[in-house]
Amino acid sequence: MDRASIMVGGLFAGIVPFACGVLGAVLANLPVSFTSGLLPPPLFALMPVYFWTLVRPDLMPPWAAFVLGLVQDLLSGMPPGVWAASFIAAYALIDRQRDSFASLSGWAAILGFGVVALVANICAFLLVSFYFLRLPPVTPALGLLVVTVVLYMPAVFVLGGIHRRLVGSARTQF
Amino acid sequence: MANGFWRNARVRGDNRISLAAFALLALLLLMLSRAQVNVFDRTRAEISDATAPLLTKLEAPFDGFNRWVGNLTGIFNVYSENLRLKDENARLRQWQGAAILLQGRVANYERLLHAVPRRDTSSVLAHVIGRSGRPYLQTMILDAGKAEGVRPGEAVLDARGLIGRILVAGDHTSWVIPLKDLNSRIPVTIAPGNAQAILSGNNTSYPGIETFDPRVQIKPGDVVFTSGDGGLLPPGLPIGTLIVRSNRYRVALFADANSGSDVEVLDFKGIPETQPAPSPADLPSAPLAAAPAQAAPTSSVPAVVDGNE
Repeated sequence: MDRASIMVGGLFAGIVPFACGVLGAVLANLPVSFTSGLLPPPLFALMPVYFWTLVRPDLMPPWAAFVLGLVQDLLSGMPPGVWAASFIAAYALIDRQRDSFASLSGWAAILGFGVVALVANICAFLLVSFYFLRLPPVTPALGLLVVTVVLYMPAVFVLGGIHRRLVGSARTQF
Repeated sequence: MANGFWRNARVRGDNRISLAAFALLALLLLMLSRAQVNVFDRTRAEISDATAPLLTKLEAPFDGFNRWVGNLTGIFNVYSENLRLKDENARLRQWQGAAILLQGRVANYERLLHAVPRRDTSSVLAHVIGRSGRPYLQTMILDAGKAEGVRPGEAVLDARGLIGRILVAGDHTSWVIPLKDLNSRIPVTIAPGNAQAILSGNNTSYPGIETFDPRVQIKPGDVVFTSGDGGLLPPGLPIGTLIVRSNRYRVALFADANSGSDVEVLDFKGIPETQPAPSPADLPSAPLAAAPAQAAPTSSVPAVVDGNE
């Protein structure tokens, strides 16, 4: 394999996690609902942030989490900064507790994502309360958390497949 | 091993700085958007304009699926629903007779009083091509935009009543903010009694009501209309009825933002509030005393002059 193709491959692998996040934000914010609006759309954009921050943090730097949060804000109609700050809060938690999260497997790994999603949701809830100067109802926010965590289970297989086929399994020394 | 440890520590330290910087930037953006609420609106409008053809194609199967799901849940209470509708129909027929009688009487009074006829409001019929119920923002996307005469702030109605207002208008699409959304606050009148209040969305199916005067007498079953205050929405648009939930007054909306597929966007131009021309007594006495025959100054002249200047 020549040097140019290795560089192109590396660049492609570097783009994939971010592209997955953008695709997640787009999918979650399509203005159509499978459930007649009964359930909120999940935070698909947070899943690649969690997954690659653990597996390949060099491919999911803080700026990528910030931009994905901004894309989520832009597409969801939220005031710019709400999800951006929430994604950064989630990233900070993963960054601090990477070893703990990375050692989880099975249901514990889902629970780990649940904790990160909870932090992101609490952060968004507080920022929305601050922005509108009143408390939004808790039930829809809880619904968002539950839907996001439940859908992380199938999503993690998809992300794992993408990682193995497109990004490469080699872990960095982070 | 040691090198790896120091490298990890250095990179994590870098991360902490950049995380703090990005968190600060996010909060700055949030504060900026609080001051300038339409920062992202142009981009949002362009995105919805660009994706409108895709949304139109996507909407049909989803709409069919959602109707099917809706019918599935409705089939279990079809008998009780039928009884309720028969009862409601009988009551509405009585009200229809009363309304026709009152309509004629009002027309007679208006003729006798030489009342100024109401201004006709034009409207645009639009189709709902997207709908989303997020925890903090609920929106509908319509297939009509600026090119069709839709502008931000205009009222959106279905056959039963007011659904919401236009939030963002693109060239060929627009975003609607429903009445139940957290961002929605509109001035309303509660009849009978003509109590003035604010209808504020809370992201539930039953928006809250905030009366200006705590002593005002309202009761469940009272009807809520737009008051027209502020000139943004036309007065008299039906919104819903007062109910009590969790010991608080809420409004059961007439219109259902989740089911309607065709809506009307009202083009209402409120009468601009004209400032009365200042009388000679309102103006500084010295120049007027010197030139009493001068014409009344235009609005560019400050009405209040600081005595220190």
